[in-house]
Amino acid sequence: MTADPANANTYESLWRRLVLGRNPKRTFIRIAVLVVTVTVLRAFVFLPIETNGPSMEPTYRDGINIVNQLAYVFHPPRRGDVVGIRVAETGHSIMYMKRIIGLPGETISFHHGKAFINGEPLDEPYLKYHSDWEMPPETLGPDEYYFTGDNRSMPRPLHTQGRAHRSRIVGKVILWRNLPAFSLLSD
Amino acid sequence: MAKFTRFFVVIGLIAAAIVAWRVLFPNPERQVHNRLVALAKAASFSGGDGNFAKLAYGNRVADFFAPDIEVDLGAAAGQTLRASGRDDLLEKLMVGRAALDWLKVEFLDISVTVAPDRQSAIADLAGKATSSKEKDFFVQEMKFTLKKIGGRWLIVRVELVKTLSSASAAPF
Repeated sequence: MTADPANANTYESLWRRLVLGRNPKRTFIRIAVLVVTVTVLRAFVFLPIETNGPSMEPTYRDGINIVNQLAYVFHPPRRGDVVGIRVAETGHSIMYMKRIIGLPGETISFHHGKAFINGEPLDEPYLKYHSDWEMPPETLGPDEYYFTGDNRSMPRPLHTQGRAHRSRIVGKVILWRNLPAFSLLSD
Repeated sequence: MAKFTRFFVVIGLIAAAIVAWRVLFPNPERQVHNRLVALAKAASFSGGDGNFAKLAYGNRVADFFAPDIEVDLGAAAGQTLRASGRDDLLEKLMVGRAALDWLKVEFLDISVTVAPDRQSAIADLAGKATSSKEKDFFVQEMKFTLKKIGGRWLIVRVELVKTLSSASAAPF
């Protein structure tokens, strides 16, 4: 059995062209640009996270979501936004996923499960479960926000909620729920 | 092409030298960071540990702490852990070890602030624990205070931090 060197060369050049393209230099540049773009987007803009826990039910259930880290570049966080809150002072390996209900300087309270802002009841159409939370009025500091989950049927001591500084907010959660599981915690 | 190759080789060598320098001569922040990562590893155990490993567990973990350690983990994850002194901590670690089949501890997002005299440091981190007892993992912000004693960074205080605080919330 003999090999045909001409045929072998043809196959080799075909493979080379399929893998590296007509101009290998350009292909490498394209790959580099793609890798840099994806890395930058992943690190500084869209952060994929896995949600875990019942505190944001029924709005969000366990699954993959995306945190937009540039959501608050041009405006401050708004009431009703669902955000990722870093658990430690730095980093975002693990976050709480909560809804902002109180803005800086406001006074928050709960009575018969209903949230009150500066004494006025807050309209929260996303709440589907009955709640009996009670909390005396609490005034937020200049850069503080008040966060809770949507599942307020849980007893308040078991539901991680409360105030935190603006610097704790990583970004706004983009609804992309119920995709099978990546870590965002919502207890 | 040879220029490109030489350029990448030089860049690679510089990067390797920086990594080697950081590994061989870690700064105090890195030393504390590595110490806490080692603690998380030491505190974790699997179901297949033998009796000798079970007995060694408490000493292995307690070795990271100063003799006058103060631990106040309040009612974290439904478990209360308060210990004063290494012997007290050792005892509680062994009780905890006996109650669980397996435990995985991770310290994430560690930020270390070393005092100007470089003899003490404070580390803030997110502690994550998964155990044979709970279906879901447990997460808590924690603060570790360390001191350099006999050339080693030893933990002198561990406390919980409430990431989301409320004046009327139940205390730890």
